[in-house]
Amino acid sequence: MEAWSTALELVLTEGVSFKDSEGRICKEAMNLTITVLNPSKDIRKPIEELTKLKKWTYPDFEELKNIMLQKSQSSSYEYTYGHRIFNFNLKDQIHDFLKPLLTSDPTSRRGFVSLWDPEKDSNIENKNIPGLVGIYFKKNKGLDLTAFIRSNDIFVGWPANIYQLYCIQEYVAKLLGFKIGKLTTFSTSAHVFEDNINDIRRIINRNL
Amino acid sequence: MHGIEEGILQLFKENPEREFKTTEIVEKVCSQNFSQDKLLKAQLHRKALYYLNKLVDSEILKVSKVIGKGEKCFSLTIQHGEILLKGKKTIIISNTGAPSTPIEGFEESKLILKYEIPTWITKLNSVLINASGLKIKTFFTLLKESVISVNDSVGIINLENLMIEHSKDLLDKLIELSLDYSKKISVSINISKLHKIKEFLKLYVNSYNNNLLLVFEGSPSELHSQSRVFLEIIDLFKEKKIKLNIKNSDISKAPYIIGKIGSYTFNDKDWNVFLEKDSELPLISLSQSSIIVDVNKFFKEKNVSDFRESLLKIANSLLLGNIIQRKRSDEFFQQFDSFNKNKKNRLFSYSSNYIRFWNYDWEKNYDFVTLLNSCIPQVKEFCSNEETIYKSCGMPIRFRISFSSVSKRFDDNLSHRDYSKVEIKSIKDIESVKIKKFLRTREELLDYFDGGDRVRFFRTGDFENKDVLQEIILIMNSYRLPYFCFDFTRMRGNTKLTHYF
Repeated sequence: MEAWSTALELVLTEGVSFKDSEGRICKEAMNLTITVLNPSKDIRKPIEELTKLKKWTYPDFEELKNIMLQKSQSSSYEYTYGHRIFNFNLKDQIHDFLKPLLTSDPTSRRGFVSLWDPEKDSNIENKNIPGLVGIYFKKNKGLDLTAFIRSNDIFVGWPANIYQLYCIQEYVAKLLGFKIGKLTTFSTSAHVFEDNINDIRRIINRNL
Repeated sequence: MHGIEEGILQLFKENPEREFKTTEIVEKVCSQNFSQDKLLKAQLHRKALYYLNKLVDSEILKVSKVIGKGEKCFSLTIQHGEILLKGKKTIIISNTGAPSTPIEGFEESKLILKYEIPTWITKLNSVLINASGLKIKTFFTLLKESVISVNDSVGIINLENLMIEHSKDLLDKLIELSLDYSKKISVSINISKLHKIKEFLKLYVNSYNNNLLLVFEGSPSELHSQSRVFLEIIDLFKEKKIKLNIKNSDISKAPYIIGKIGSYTFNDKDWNVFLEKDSELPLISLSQSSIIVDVNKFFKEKNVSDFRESLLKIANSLLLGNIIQRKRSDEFFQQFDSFNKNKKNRLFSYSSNYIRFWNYDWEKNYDFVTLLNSCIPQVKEFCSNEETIYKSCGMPIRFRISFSSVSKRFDDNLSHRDYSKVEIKSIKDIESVKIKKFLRTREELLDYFDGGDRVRFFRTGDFENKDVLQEIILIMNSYRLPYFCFDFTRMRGNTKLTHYF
């Protein structure tokens, strides 16, 4: 919660305003890194805070988790993170690569899982492309996870992203018998929308 | 199966999420025999309890709690999936895990109705089959899966080649499936190919069934160039009093599908994307769920501000329904995966939910068009915001709501419709001030009814086929009506020419 509210404040104060392709005014900070030291604690809190605003119907925890861990492609979504992670062009990047890699060499620096599919995503017409483009797993004291997020709405999107990343971190840690380590997101475009500024301030003030 | 047992199962079939008190079950199931007489009441109570206990023993129902002086409450044991009970009659009960929705108060007073409550989540309203390039066997398999998976209608485009090659077998199968599963099947016919499918059309007319409908689709110029064949069709349809459905492709490129509750269509922008990117897909969803507002009844009890609020609540309810549908889409719609192969994630890419209006009369009490003008943007904004939220969360979903009318009183709870009938005595009347005004309002309404709408012309009296053709071309050239129909069911007597809308 502290990480989220600090990040929101930073984007609000340091972010540069611009109008996006859909005409919405954003504040954007480039290359924002947020590290959650103890992800097992309060990882659901940001979503609970958003839900309390009662402004929208926010995806529930079950659906968010399934998106991350479900291997099959669903007919309901253009893409799913789980499908990209566990079944990327028939490659299960966790079981067929990461598990043997970190089992044989726990300190390996090659534990990278890609979610970007150039065949589909590097297409000017396609606007439904993943925000989360890669996940890096590294065993230190525990299993650390660093996520690379191309475009990240820090107010609405990040709470879901951090929860989903925790789900995959927990899954892999269990699979390998490691403890859960730190959880870091690296957002190249960290932004918030002007329409949400009042609600963002409310969240920040609530957590001062 | 005994009548009471069947009644109990029907009750749970219609309300799979609910828990019922024994008294409530007796009142609802035995309503015909229900009496205030204590002795009779006790007898019915005992009878119902006997069957309730039988269903508990069969593990179909459970005693969910005991209240007051020991009265039992019952609910379904199943969480999801289906129970098939075989007997003289088969009843399928499906517990969808349907969510509570913020319109339940309105539903109770029958101002708002979900279409097909038992399947409003487990089935789609309507799908579109693109038969282009499909072999007859594959088409039949896909058609069967489709009629099973919808609760209203299946639309078909590009069927002409199969009509030429397999007219009789194709027609028999279309009729058989539409009747067996009690679904509408709506086939778009390309007017420019009419001369090639005369054989099929003759067979269709001779074995006409109201569940299988044809929509003739083309531009006025295409109709003109096919006038010789079309005159024959008019004669055939007129003789059997079959509705002639016309879709003007100069006004809208997207196909129009006829369902039990009204028409379905895609917006033209989406349809163009489909043609560019996904035209090889054999099947896409057209509509997921529909909720109906009985406008006349609504405004007898509520005001404009309630109406505005209710539309947002309906939008939220549709979203909640879609969430469950999405979560369990692998279970509900897996049968389509093998047809769309590596593009199975495109099933919902062009789909909408529908808010439909029943018994709205824009000339009375309130300005319906102005009301729509102010309310619809709010609903569209709600949908767009939800799509943005889900996309930000790495869940790119499509959540759209289209608006349309209800064309038929499909539920007894809907109010009796009070609508304008306009009589025309000659073709010139189509351009009379009164009719012009009426049709211009319908055009205006179509700016809001992005999910499609239909104008019906009742054609009566003595007339030649060429009169009808002339009138159709005149309407196509003069009005922005993408879809209308000529209804010959009221032909009679010496009336020269009468149109009702």
